[in-house]
Amino acid sequence: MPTPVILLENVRKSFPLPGSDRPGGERTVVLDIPGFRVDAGEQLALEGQSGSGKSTLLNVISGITRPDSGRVEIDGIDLARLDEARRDRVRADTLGMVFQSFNLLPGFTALENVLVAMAFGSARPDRARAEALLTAVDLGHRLHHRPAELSTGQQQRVAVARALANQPRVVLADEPTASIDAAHQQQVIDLLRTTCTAHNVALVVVTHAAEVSEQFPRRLRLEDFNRAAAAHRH
Amino acid sequence: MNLFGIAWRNIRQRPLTSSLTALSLACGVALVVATLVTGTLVHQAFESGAGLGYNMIIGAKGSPLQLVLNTVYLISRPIENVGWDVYQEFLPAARRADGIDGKYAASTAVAVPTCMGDYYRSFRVVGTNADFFGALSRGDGQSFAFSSGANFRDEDFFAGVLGATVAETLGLKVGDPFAPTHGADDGKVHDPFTVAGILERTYTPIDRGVFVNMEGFYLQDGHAKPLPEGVQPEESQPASGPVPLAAAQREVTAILLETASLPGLPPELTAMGLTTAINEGRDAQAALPVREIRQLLDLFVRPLELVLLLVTAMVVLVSALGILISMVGSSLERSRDVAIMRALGARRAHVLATVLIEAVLLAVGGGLAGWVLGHLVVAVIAPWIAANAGVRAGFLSAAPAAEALLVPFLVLLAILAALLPAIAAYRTDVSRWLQGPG
Repeated sequence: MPTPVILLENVRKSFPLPGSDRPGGERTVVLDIPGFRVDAGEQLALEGQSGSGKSTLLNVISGITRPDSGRVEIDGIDLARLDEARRDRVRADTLGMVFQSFNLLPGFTALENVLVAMAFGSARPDRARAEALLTAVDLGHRLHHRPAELSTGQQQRVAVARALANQPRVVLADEPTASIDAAHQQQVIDLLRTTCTAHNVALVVVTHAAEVSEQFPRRLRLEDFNRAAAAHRH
Repeated sequence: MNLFGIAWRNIRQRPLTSSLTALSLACGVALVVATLVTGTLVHQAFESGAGLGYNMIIGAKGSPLQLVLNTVYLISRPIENVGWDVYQEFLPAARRADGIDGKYAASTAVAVPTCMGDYYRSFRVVGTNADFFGALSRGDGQSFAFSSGANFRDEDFFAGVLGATVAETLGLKVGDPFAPTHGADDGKVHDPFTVAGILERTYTPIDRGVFVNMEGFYLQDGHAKPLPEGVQPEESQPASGPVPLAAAQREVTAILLETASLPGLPPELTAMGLTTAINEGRDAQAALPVREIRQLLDLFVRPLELVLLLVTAMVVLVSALGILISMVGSSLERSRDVAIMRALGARRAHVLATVLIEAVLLAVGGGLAGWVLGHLVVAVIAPWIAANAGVRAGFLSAAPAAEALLVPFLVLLAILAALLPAIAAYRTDVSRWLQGPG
């Protein structure tokens, strides 16, 4: 059996309830996941309503947030065993992130936004590769434009190119179509899917839109594998 | 793109704020640089005047500092005069009328008399003999050089030599006549002298001096010492030309002395012995210019410099606060950028370093601009410094040691100023800033 790019086992994450910040205070469980896995090159849509723990799940997978307990493996590396700096390195090298509102750095050009992501990975920043990635998403003529000088669709393409900057094993896209109009939504999904396929990168898209998730070969609702979300729902 | 590139891009992202921060720092640094360089020039001005080929000044009893300031720097007023006989004591037998070595002749290598009290259009007039430009040097060990004409001859009673600043300011040329005034600019006008030579610029107080043959100086109204009652002046009739003033009626304001090394004694010891001998007598005092100037610098100039430097350092500190204010002001904007970079894999150390590098770049950029600005200020006021302090100044005038310390000082200051925003960036909560619904 091949090593999964994402593997969660018995992951539990809770947060203190408002006003119960002290140790031993009341907490609310956001994630309670017995098992979850994504294989290499797989494309998966995760559906979830607001408050179902989607962002927390992405933060746990990307190593930004540590779970209270359980095992989080990214490409075979157990994040729970690593200190924060090493988790950051794994995130830079293994994961590509696409955010809901693109989150490009406003003062940096399209090319620089990709190069910045490369700056934090193990490999040396490769300008030629950054240019090639942007050219692959039809932005070869917009390399030196800042986000404010790009259209919404172009910004999203920069975000996709940036996510692939360090040749990741998996791209995590958090509501990538939430802040764009319907006309651009399909373009973004197509772009993500074709690009990830072309680079043999697994893709996890978190969305609350059924019309997005139904395009993926594998669809999961958070409630299906997150017992905490199911409990809240009931 | 490395961390420097990211920091530089962050600076360019806020051009106005960054420029104003750097400008404020540049102004502070310019002030410090100008203060440091000017201070160094003041030292140079004093030190250059203390090495003109003599190591001792003999004058009337009184303040040795006043004697030095008046004789070397042509400032302050003369104390009093000493008798011609005092000067004679430093001369060898060959130069004395009585053919006997003076009391201090063995300890004397060079003795040049000077007489003061007259002015020519606000410039000091110094009566002296041809040895002033023949036996002394201009401060750097070099002999005096003339840009036009030559030194006056002792037999040309009414000839003179002008310093470069005097000639330039008054537009005088070789052959031009000039008539000094007695005691002050509005004093009685004396007989005219003729310009025999104009000195090349020395960047010492010499540039501000009008030097005339003391034989002509003595013959002016009010310059002859009154004879005691009943004493008749000696009669000495030269073959031609004016009659020199009788020795009994002569006085000198100061004697510039280069001591000789006595056999078996180091020169310093000779000078010390001579100083003691003269100062123990009743007729005159001996002042050592180097010691007097060093005391003056230590007592007054250095403390003043220190105060000035502290004030300008405060200006730089306030400018450094600009870095803090600028960075705290942009911290909200920065938080989002930091969160994005952290999500892309940046470590906390990366964002901390980026903020610190940003501050250091601002400080170094502002500092370099300030350094250039400070030297430009010195270059702009250089003519004024040269005219008033008699010292060469320009863009490249520097206080190397202090200026070299500026860079590490600025970098340290920038790091301290940026520490707070850097720590805030370090502690940025990524999940809070990138939180989506759910």
